[in-house]
Amino acid sequence: MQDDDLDKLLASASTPVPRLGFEQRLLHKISVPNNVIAFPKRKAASPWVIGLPLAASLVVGLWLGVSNLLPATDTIMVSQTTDDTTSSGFDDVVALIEDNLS
Amino acid sequence: MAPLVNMALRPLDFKICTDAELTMAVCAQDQMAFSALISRHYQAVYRVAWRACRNDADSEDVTQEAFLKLWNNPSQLRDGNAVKGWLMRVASNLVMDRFRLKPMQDIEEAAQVADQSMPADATLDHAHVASRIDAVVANLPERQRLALTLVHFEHLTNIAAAAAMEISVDALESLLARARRSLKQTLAADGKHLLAAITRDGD
Repeated sequence: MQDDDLDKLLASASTPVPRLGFEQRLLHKISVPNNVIAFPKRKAASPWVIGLPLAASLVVGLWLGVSNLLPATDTIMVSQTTDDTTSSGFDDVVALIEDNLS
Repeated sequence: MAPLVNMALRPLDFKICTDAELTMAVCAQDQMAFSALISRHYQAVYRVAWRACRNDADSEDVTQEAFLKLWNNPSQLRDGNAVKGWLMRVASNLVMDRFRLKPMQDIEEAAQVADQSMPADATLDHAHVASRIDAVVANLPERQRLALTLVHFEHLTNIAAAAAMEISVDALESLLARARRSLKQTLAADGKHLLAAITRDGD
């Protein structure tokens, strides 16, 4: 198909026309005020409300660290059970039951 | 702050305003200016929407939605003189959004818009050809169809059409070439028959 033929075919396409009264309906729709009332926007929390306590706690933490007011970690005692006879866990429960049965 | 437009302008004056002046007034929420813009461009926007969906009701909805987008947020428009192209592009996008959710209904309404001045028997042939061409154009990929619609059907220059689509002129010409190639391939089988019908009607 040649370009001229295609142009002829394109020229024969429909020329759509809006239905009668569309312009008036469109203008009316635009001119009518919107009846939908939006919810009032929720005020976002001020960044200071969140940022100030965070900054204050950071400053206090740094001050405590620098001024050696925190207890040294090597003085914290960690208790650990080293008694092998203490029963713990499923295997020991099974062993205890077997002992009782025998 | 300086006023955007001379607010003394009234409806009759809006008829001689440029699109840029009207758009500036729309930015100031001037309803009369907006009405003037609607009256000036609603038919072209409607035609672009119709080329994509070939349905009167959907085309009207899309046209209204495109204008409402402009009214609600006119600052999206960068160049007031390009408002017509902008509205056409928005309408084309809205049709695509709409039919992504809802399958397109192929309603044969070409007979309603056929040239009423032709004799009854010739109208039938012409309507058939028009319907076939409309369908083939509507089935083009979105951007190719919009490029073809703006240049061939709305008679925009390549520069104006490229500006409306926010692409380069080279890109627009590429889209047009691909659209024409695709149309030729699709119409290869029945093109001669359609051309014969047009010629017969023209005699």
